[in-house]
Amino acid sequence: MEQGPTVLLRAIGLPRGAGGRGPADLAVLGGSALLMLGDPSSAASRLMAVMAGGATTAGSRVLVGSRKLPVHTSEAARYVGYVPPDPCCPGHVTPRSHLSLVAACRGIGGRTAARTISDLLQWCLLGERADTPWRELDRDHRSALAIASALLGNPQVLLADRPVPPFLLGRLSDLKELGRALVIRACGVEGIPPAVDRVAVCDGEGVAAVVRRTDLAGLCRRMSTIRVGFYPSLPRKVMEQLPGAAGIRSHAEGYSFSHPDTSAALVHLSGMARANARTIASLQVLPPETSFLARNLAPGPESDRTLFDGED
Amino acid sequence: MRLLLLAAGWHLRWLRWRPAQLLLLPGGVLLALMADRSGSPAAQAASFVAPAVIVAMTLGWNDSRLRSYLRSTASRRSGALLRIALEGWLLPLAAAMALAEAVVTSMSAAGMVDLRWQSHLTLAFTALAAASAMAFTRGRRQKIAASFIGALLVLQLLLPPGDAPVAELLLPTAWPALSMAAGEGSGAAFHADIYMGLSMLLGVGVSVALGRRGLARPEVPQLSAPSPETQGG
Repeated sequence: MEQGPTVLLRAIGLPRGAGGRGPADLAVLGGSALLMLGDPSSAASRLMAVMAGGATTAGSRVLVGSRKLPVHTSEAARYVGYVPPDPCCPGHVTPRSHLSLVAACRGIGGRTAARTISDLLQWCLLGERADTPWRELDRDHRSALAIASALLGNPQVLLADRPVPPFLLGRLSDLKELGRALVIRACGVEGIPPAVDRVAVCDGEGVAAVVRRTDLAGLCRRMSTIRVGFYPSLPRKVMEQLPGAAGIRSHAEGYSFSHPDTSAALVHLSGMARANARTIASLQVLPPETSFLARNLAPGPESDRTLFDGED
Repeated sequence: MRLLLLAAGWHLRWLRWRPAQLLLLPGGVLLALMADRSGSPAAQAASFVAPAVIVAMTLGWNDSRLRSYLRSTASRRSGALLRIALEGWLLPLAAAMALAEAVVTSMSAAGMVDLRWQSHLTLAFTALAAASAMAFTRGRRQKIAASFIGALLVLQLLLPPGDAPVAELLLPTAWPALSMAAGEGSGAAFHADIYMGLSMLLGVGVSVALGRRGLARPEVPQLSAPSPETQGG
């Protein structure tokens, strides 16, 4: 009989965001990816450390792996691969020598270690930089090395507390297909990888809400801010005639406003510029800030919705 | 074993970047040779070797970035963390023992000191005490331990020979030299068994007392919710 995916990470009693009631629970299935969305002042990074077993919070419990082991036990360490927010190596250390050390720490030795390290370097697209010292690696390759280190023990759960480099985004889908549970942190919606299924929006106190990625995309479309500048400048009276525009503000370069449908707004702006013999001198579509999302997505105090309500 | 060897390699690499510490060794030997303690400067020099090697190899290692890197790489794997801690203890101890034994054996072969079996054990247990005191402490405590060992060595050199044999019992660094002096039948020293027994008590005691904490699994820190002040309002 075919078995469905199992929950590989269950975090119970995590702190809830401002305005929320009671603790928050999170569960990540094998073959799925959760993104912890929060700016640097949010609790996202702290919660990642809690889920990785590097810290605890009062009343929280984290169970990992198919055996549901408490994450703080040494036996559970092999089920979790953790990418720290600021991986650091001595300047002369190369990816190969670093991975050799990690392999020794995980009890992998001899030919197995050499073969695994070689495969992992290729898989993380670090093959050409395997013998480049750390001080000469750029930020993305350092991230890739940190991810390779976390994956060395073939863990069931990968927790990446820093953005995944663009050239490894495709690998996240491979990991999902292999049945791994992924938890990734990003500071803004622009950093959400396509492989992510759900997004936990965090504020300074904890998890404000958990939404599907597609739902968040819809929300972002409605909550985006459009900044536009015209040459010659357009009178505000004309700008206020833009259908659907709300919260129009004037600034040095032009106007900023929000619109429920970004693509429709762009069509209207283009038409308005042509009709008034103006040129669009500058145009920016800014996604909503994470703190703004957290405030708007947080359930009201009277709501009894749980964080699992948005899940299948 | 592989991790132990790798960590030892990193440790030696770190030591290569700190040649000033290695000067402790010839400097100390020279100082010891200048003093005339227990009628045997050679024995003094030999007893200086082990603590000097241990201090030179451990001072600052526990607080170094390289060791932090090793520990962070080991992450929460208690076995790996234990091996890294053991390396920081065993490598200086083994190096100190090997060098001190080589020195006393060559001196004994040259007829400069009379070496008895108690002297070997006294040397080993005092080295064990010094290695535990240095390897299982860090930061300010480690500096205090190093200063204390240094002060004992200076006192050992300054005390007039045979002047106060009972007071010399309070100078553990002098015990190997006194043990060798006892072997030569010097009246300035007690029987070699006394120094051996004392060094055994000291070595095992310090190792157990400090090693229990030094080799323990690190505790997971508990996070508290940020206060409104830290959130800017």
